[in-house]
Amino acid sequence: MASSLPGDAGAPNAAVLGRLLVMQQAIDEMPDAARIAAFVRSALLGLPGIADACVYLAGHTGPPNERMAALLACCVDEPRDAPARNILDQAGSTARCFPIEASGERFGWLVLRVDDAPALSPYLAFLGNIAGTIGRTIATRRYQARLAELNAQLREARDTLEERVAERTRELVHRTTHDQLTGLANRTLLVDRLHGAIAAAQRQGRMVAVVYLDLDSFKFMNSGLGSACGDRFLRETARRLCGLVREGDTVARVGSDEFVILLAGLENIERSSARLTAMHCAVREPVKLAGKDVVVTCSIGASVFPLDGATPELLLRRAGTAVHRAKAAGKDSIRFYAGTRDAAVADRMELETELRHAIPGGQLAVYYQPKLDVASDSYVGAEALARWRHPRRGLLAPRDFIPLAEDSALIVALGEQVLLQACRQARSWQDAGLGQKTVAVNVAARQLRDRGIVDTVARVLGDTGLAPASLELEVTESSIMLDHDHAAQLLRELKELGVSISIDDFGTGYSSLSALRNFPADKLKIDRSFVHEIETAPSAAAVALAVISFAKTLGLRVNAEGVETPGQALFLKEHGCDEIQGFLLAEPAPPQEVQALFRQSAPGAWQAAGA
Amino acid sequence: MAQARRHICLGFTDEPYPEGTHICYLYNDEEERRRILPLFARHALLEHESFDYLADVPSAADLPRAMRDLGLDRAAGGLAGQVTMATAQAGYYPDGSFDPDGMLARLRARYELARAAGLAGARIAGETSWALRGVPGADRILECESRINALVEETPITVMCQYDLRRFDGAMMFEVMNVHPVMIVGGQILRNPFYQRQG
Repeated sequence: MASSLPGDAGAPNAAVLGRLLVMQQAIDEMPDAARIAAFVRSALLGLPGIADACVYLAGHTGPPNERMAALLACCVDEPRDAPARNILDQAGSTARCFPIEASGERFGWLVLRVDDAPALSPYLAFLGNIAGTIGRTIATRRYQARLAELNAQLREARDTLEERVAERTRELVHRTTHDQLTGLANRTLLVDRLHGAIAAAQRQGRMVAVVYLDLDSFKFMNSGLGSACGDRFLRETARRLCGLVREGDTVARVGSDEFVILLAGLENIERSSARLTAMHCAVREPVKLAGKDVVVTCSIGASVFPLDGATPELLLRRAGTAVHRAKAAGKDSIRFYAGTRDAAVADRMELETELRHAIPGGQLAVYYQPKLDVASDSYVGAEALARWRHPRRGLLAPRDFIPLAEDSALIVALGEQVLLQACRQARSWQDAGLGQKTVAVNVAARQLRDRGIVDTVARVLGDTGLAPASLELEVTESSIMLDHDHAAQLLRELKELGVSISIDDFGTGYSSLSALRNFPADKLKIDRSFVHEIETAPSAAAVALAVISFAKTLGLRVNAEGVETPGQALFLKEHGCDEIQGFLLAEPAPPQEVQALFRQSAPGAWQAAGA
Repeated sequence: MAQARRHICLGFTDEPYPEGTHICYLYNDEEERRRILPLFARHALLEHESFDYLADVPSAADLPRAMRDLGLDRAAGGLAGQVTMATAQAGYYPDGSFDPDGMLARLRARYELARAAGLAGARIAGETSWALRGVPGADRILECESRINALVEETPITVMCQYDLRRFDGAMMFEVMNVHPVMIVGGQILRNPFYQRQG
């Protein structure tokens, strides 16, 4: 491709000079030694007087051909000059060598085999410049490569440093916002989160609970087992509490043995009591320390946004007040802050929380109200009625806690407990020689939602050994009418166990009589509201008579509850009511008292009173 | 014909060049390309010429990014109708192999299309690294470059062939220089003393 330009000995040719200048410019742009060498050789071959050219750059270019290698030897090694000359002489040419160097460092040689020295002679100085440009370019490329390498190292060092600074900053931020022992949020972060939770709750119309949890005897345990054990206990407590909160909630440690749990975005504060109970129980679970199962109880106090305050400070202070109340009341309990305005709500929440403890804690008692068979004037059994022996409030009647239990599904566990105790008691009466006394147990609407009740009844009968015929299940009229077909099916299954079924509060609902006709009931109970007015209100008496008549038509027995006067009793007896129960005969009483009553031979004193 | 030829501004130099100049652009610096190419494109539009760019990217989907990287998207702003972007495959070897006759015909057609659209002329810039990937016929690229010099005598389309000095070897670069009358090296435009007019 390259063509030789005419040489003019003595005066340089402009075109040749142009090429040399462009070569210099192109060399400047070449990225590496190998490309420079190839380009320069090709470009020089067309210049006047040059038979061959070679750019030798040690370590960058391959070995030149044999002839050029000999010339190169002439350039770099004087003792080997002679053989090279011989070669040149034979070829009728001479050699020209230009060192390639920069800043005192030799990179290699530009070697020319010259076949027309006079033609080349005007350009020798320019060729020296070409060699110089090659040297500078190679030095520059080497410098650029080194610079790039150093920059990369610098970048890496900077990245590492930035990473370490960021990590350290994160560490410091974490230290200022977290408890170092447990990793929980500290008070600063808690207050910050509380601000956010309150703002979010305000926007969304939700509530926030601030739960102050104080370990009851931690200091005693800490001094007894040592601080290492104490620390392990605190970490374990933190872990358990964290397992009970949802995303968006915060668990903080705000004192040596004090934690605050922020429950955010609550729709219904009543439901939070179950979570407080879970925390209370979780802390009380034994912790293995120094080979012992250590149990530490806790006191919990809670305040609620917006009921108890709208600022983090106020809510924390009121949660603290509540926890002090819990401590003052004997520790190991849960209290909600009760502002005057919200005392009722707080009281209800507190009661619900306590009720969760009451069932497993054995605070639930069963009282019994005897039932009298009117015809034989003898006690045939009793209705089991739940009582709560509340540690502070005393003995609570069903109306004080059954509605609460029904709202929160606690009724299922509560009902099961009453069933178990009642069956056990009936068996005990029978074993004591009191005859086949029956026991009636109320079944709540929620218990009728699934067939678990069938399994429960079967299991309890099996466990207690009570004959199924001695158990009477009372279901309210309203509960069976909610889902008529489902309830009918469940009651059939229960009846197949051998138990009998009573329909409670009969007459208060809006039952379809035709529907009731198909229920597998054995007995109807006239509601106490009708019995109460049976002597004074003709309409009440009419309902009572209608129920008796309806029951008789279907072949069912009739029970009247709430009988308080002899007149009521006589009216019911005269119109064919089979059973009565009420204060006239006996109030609900503990099993021992009822057992004593069953032993009385003449319960019919009521008739005498009325006569 | 040469006397009647328009002189145009290439953009990156004040010196006017005749339309139909065949330029090889030897580069090893992307910053430099981002300085030169948008000016070359912008001045095509200012001279009422069409501007075609052939980018060595895998698919047409990569063209917008390539244009952004080179600053050509901004350069063509407001005059989109005069600008065509295509992949190197579409521009150089649409049938899968490179054929100088086909390439010359496409250049001619491009120029004629621009004139038929009422434009003063056409210019095109293309990337050539595809020739190193074993595309059939790629060994005829120098033949094609050489024949473009004859083509532009009669069809004065302005052509800029870009060669990446980091990818082509030095001897090849020397041969490329031999077939371009004008070259850009180091960002400087030069009349090429190595250029050998054929015939």
